[in-house]
Amino acid sequence: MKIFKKHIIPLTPYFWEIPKDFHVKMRVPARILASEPLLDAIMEDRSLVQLVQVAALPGIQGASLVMPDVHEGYGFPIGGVAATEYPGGAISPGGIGYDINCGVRLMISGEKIQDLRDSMEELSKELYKEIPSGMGQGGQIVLSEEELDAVLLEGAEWAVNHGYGKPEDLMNMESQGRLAMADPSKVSENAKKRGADQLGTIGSGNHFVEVDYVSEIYDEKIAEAFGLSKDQVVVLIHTGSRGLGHQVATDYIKKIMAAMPEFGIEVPDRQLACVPLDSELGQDYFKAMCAAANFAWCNREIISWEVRNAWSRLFGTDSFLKLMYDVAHNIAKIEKHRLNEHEGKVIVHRKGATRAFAPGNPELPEAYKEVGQPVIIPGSMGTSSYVLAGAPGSMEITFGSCCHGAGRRLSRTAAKKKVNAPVLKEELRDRGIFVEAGSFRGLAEEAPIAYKDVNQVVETVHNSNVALKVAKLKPVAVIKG
Amino acid sequence: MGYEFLSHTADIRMRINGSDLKELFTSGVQGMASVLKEDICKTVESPVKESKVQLKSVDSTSLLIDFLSEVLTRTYVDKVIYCTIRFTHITENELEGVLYGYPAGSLDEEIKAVTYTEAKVQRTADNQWASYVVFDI
Repeated sequence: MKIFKKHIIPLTPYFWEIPKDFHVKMRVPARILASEPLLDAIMEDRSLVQLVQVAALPGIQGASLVMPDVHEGYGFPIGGVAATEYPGGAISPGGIGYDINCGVRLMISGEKIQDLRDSMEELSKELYKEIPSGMGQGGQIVLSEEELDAVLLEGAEWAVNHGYGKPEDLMNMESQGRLAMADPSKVSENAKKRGADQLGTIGSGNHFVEVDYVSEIYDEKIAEAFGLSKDQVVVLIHTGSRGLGHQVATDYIKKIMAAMPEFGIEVPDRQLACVPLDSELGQDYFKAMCAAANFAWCNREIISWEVRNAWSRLFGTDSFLKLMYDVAHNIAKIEKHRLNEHEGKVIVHRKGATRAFAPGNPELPEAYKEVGQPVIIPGSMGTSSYVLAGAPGSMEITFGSCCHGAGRRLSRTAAKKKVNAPVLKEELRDRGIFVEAGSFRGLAEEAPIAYKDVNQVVETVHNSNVALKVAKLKPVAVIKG
Repeated sequence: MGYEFLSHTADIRMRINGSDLKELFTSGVQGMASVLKEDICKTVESPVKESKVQLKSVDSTSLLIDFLSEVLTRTYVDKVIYCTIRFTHITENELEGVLYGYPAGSLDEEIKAVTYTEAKVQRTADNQWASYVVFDI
């Protein structure tokens, strides 16, 4: 399948469509949220072919969607959103990804960068010591079988109840850090073995803990509601459900692939394997996915505890870090959306896409209800990250979803060829960004040059009224696996 | 027999080949090991772990991916990297053998999963067996 520009119709300067009649298997159109230069960049890899294949999912509603940071994935593109009919439409583990509830959270301090700048090198080392990172690295907490089951049921609440978090953190998390449908009995022994020593670890790849400061405020009113102010020091955490989630996805993709003929389902790429949500296997996967999502929320809460420990050792016990928000970008949720003038429940798959609910949504915490859900968009380690607020456009065109990052543009191999990691580390240091990484190889793979321009990605979602710019963050210390 | 790495925007795309399924699957194990830790399979040390494996799948492509997924799971659970396998039985939809693992220590790269994307076990024009394998990183 080849997709050329002539196949793509502009709906607005930021929204494009590949019509349903482009391919006989498409059940809905495929739509791309992107500026024209970003669309041209997106066309360089297999993202749009994958987007068109997703449009063939059983029960898909509205349109198959990609966000402006999309890049090719495996089966589904990364940066994709697919809503299917509830309860009989498809649930596809590939539409959520292996790292179930990979997500980001932002913690805000009461300090200004001017007062902490001289401590950033020391802070980066302290954080690196405190937070286990890298491959195969176990955490400070090793759970018994019963404790792990409790984590899978309770999510971030488990951390709070065991002294690793603050009760007020819970209200500032998507779904309060816990999905009630979780069932630990649907999670395999292998998955549990892999997760038992991984709470409080960030892993490798593009995961990180980053200290930033607010370099620019775009919307004073929303920033105030979020507790953000100019020059304020903040901490950004990006990680997911670690080996436990990876194993849940692996186990169920295999089972679902074998079961598809029973339901008469055929998919163009095995990685799109799916079954109806209301089937027994669909329910089992959904309950296991919810359990893995809970593990991820608990993981990010425990990493926050580690960050808070390092923080108070350096800056005193009076200093604080408050959770602004925690949001998933690899997940499936049952949500209410308006489609063809009717509001109803759909199964929203977000793979590399952030929930971005508009003001007034009942799911939002009281403090953010008037301004919209905080949306956290990490950039690359040398550039900027953004805080945005969900806006009405997201409810109209993207099933309440937004981009999740800058999006890769270079392969890991290409980045390693182009980047001299020790030199990069020195260059970043000269710019006041202190990096502690598990390996130079990993550092080179995640170099800023490997990513798209996050500013262009954010401008697209802002101009299309999907999420509005609130603040820009600049990094000063980065911990990578 | 062997493996090579090809470009992929975010993940790792590998092409493997071998003169028969045994060689093809062994190339997969060794290629995956080299992603986890470069040169681990060139070690002269003796293996520290032996692990029996027995699998059935619907076809040779699923068998390859299910097998590599199983090896990856055991890598993380057993905390060793498997470099070699002695097959006692292999057909297009089932296999049996013993894996040999070496101490992992810290890894170069964490593989989240072995995906089915683009995988297709097939014979090439030069009578070899080949497939692509895409790892989620």
